[in-house]
Amino acid sequence: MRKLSCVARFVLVAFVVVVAARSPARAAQEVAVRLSAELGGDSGLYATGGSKTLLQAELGYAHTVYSFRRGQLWVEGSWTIGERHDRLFSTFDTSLLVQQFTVGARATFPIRPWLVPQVRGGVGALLGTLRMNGLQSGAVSETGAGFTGYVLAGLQLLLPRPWMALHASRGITAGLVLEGGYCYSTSLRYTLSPQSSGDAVQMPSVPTDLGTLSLSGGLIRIGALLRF
Amino acid sequence: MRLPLLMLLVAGCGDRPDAWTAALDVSGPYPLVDSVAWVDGARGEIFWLDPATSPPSVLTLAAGRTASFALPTPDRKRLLVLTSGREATKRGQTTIAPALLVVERMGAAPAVTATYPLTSPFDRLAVAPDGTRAIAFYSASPPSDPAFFRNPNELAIVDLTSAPDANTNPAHRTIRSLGSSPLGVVYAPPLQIPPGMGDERALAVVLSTNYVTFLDLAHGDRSEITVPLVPIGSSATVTPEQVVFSPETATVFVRAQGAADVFALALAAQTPTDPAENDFVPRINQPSTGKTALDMILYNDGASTILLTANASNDVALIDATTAEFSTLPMGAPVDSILAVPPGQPTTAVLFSRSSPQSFVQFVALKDLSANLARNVTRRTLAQPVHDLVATPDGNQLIVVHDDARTVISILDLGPRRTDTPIDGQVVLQSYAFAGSRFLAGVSSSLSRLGILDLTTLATRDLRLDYAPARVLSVGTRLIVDHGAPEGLVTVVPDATSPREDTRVLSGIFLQRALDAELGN
Repeated sequence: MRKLSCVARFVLVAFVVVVAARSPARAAQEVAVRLSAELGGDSGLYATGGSKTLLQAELGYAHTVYSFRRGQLWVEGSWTIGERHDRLFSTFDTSLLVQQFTVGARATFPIRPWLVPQVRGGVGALLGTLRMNGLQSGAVSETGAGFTGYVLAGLQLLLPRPWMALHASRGITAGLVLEGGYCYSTSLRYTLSPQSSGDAVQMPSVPTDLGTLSLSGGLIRIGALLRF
Repeated sequence: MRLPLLMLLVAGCGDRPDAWTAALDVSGPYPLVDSVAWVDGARGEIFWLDPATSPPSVLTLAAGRTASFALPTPDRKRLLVLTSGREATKRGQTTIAPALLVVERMGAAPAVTATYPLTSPFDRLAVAPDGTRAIAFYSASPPSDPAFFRNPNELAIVDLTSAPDANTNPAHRTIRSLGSSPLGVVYAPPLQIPPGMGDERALAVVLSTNYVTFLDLAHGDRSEITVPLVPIGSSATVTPEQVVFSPETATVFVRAQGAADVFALALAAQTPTDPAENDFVPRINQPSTGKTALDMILYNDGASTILLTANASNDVALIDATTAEFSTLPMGAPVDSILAVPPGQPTTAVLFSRSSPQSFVQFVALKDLSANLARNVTRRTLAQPVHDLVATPDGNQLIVVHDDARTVISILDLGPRRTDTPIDGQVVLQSYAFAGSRFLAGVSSSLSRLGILDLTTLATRDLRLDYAPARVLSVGTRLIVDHGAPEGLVTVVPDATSPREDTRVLSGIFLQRALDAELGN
């Protein structure tokens, strides 16, 4: 619970930072939905799926805070979520729910109004909930928390709109974003203890160390964005 | 649309090693002198529970993949693990050679201290009582490996006191077959042939249907000696079930199912003419009691060594190991089991029947039995039929196991009054263990309780468990309740008098550090 309250505080502060970040009067804003594949996590991921690749969906919000020459600096916040489940050792049903709450900065360098390379990086909190069923000592659900950070480079492909031809203009458009990079996460540690059964007085237990999960690895993302 | 599909494809691609999805193949628990071990042959993990640490801890050792059999040595200091091995057939797999692993505690952690290479995937092991030798052989179970040929009479003889050597240790040999294959291996105590003369021999007797085979373990270059138990060409089938050795007379007694008598194999010295020849020869003899023996013990009465057999004809036979003279003693009821008390130098034999449980046991005083016969027999009536008898560690009492949900056991005092104290219960006793010499602990899977009986005061107490038990073990005075759960679930009770607050439940023993495992195909 202490880990969770830390994360909750972080999410709240991050939300305030991103939304309240002072923006120029003619700032652009963006809402994006992305699908990400995190590649090359550790082999512990095999406990919850057939590969080491973790698929996640991301909902992001960003707005510009500074313009330079032809480029712009953005602040962004995002919530990423992904779940996988499988059967471990043909006996235990397992699942892993991963959530990331991140804040970051992005720099865009338009080549054409509709072709915008970008780099971005951010930090945040990682929550991973491991569930395990099929144990005689009761189902296990434990949430581990950690730090996460990412560095990505990619390309935005925007729908060309008439307002884009005007200098410092602002309007609505949509587009696609393709990006790749690296995500670092501190390991999530899990232990297993017998589930408490209501108000029954149980014997003291010794937690079993299930080991750690590391989600660090390469990252590719594709998404749709709406800019306004 | 292609990239999201590609991402989904990448995420769905199954490059996971098989061990993550293969069912666990856990055997155990194996009680050791200061710990309890389990072996998972599917992943190649040995789980080593140390109940003495505070809190109790489980250590894992990456070993034992393809384990087919495991056995603690008689002193319970080492765990011997047979691995059947396998050939790599998929990319990413590694070939595993069959081997005998010796696992023991080195400091705080278990370690594989020796790996004896085997040429065949044996699945049974017999260890000498002194722990110096082991013989690996095939069981009668269907082979689990897809080998084209299998030689069921091949043995691997391992000298556990010497380092592994691919050429000499283990020594592989095929014993002569008379149409059967080994059912088991029995080790003789140190024997002198003739008695009282020459070096002590280390002999093993391999039991097979219709014959036994003698191996001189100290002389691996000598041929084995095969002793048929039925005439060659006979259609009779006898299955050796029990072997007792008489070092005083250099005689081996074999009890076999299907035989009308026990077999006495007198070992006589001979002078070999060839280095590959043995310097002893067994001479078979059936004492001709004409009785089908169901159990037997050997005891000394003065200068005589006597074989006492419980027979299918509701009597016992006393056979002089030297002269083969015998006498019979009617018991008036079925007897098929003999408990020697005390086990080493018995003075009393307690007779009962497991196959036809009776509500009494019969005490036979062994001193001067040949002369006194029926005068040495006393019958002790009990409240319920007797299914099993076990001597307490101090040898002063017998635990009488009843297959009754009300009177679970009786405590039979072996003192002059032979008092019998029935201990009531709710369920049939399924597993029990002695905690030290003072306490008996028992469990039944239908009741989540650990029953504890103080053998000195006969006071009882219960320890409520959080989960249904499957088995109880003891490690010194500590009690380990194994709940038989797929994830590995035990309750460690530090002492038979410990309250619930002092116990510890360990859940997920077989999942210990599972997320960190680098499992292969």
